[in-house]
Amino acid sequence: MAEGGIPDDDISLPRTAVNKLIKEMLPNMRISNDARELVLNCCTEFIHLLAAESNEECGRQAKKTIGPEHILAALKGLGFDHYVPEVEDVLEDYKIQATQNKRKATKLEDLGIPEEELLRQQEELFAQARMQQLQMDQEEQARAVAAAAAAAQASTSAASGGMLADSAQHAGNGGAGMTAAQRQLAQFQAITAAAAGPQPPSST
Amino acid sequence: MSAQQEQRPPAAADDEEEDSPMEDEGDEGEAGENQGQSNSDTLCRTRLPLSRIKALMKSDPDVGITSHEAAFLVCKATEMFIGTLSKLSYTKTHMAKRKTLQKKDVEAVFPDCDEYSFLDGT
Repeated sequence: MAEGGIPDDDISLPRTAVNKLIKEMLPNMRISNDARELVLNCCTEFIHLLAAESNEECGRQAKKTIGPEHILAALKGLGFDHYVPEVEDVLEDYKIQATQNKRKATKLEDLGIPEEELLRQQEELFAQARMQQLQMDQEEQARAVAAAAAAAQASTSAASGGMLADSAQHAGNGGAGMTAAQRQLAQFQAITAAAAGPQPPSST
Repeated sequence: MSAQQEQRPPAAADDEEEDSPMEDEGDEGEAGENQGQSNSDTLCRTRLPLSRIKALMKSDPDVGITSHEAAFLVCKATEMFIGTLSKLSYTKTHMAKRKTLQKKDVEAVFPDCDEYSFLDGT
């Protein structure tokens, strides 16, 4: 709802809200439209009066912002003392609510980082993790390819080496949970070791 | 009609014919935002829109910045004001033995109490 087209002097409270309040006070009464209009205008005057008086009170206390204590002092000064107890109660409720809200907010704010920044950082961490995983996968693949190539080469050049095959077999069966790449790597290592000199087969 | 600002139960009698169906410029939308705080707080719910109250206060060029708390109290004080003004006006209607509260009943309240003297001429 835009108030842009309405000059400041013409603003008032919404009629529906004011009518509801009147109706709650006088549920069984009929109220004429001009009476409602007058009550509405009286509200505007009341708010202006309260604002002006509170502003003066604020000035007297050499403060820049009108606070609740100024409103309370203004009410007393204007002859609305009978409002003060209920208004003070409402102020207490407000403060309780504000404390509760602050506690909820502080959990995140403890980091000193606003929420949007936290989300951004989280996204960054996810992206980094993805990159790292990708790199690891690529490296493993490269090792596996190298091992396979070396193994292929070694097996063609040392086809008579029964020991080699044994070693490779032992190495190959070393761990049930080994990946194909790890097995190939182990085979390669076994072949290399065998090529260096006759050695007892090592189990891995 | 929007009722999201309601906290108390609706009135017993439904006096619809006196309610003007044409309310002023979309005030329903504004009344719906009168929760005052960004979080949904049952304790801090107001019946009148805080933004409108603040706007009314600011329309006085002499009035400086108002804290949220202060605007909230002005809101509550205004709600109380509507209540007491309505009740006092009703006593005038009742004395005149009428069933409809009229403008003159409201006006008759002003001279009775000093605190309402500011309303003379409204």
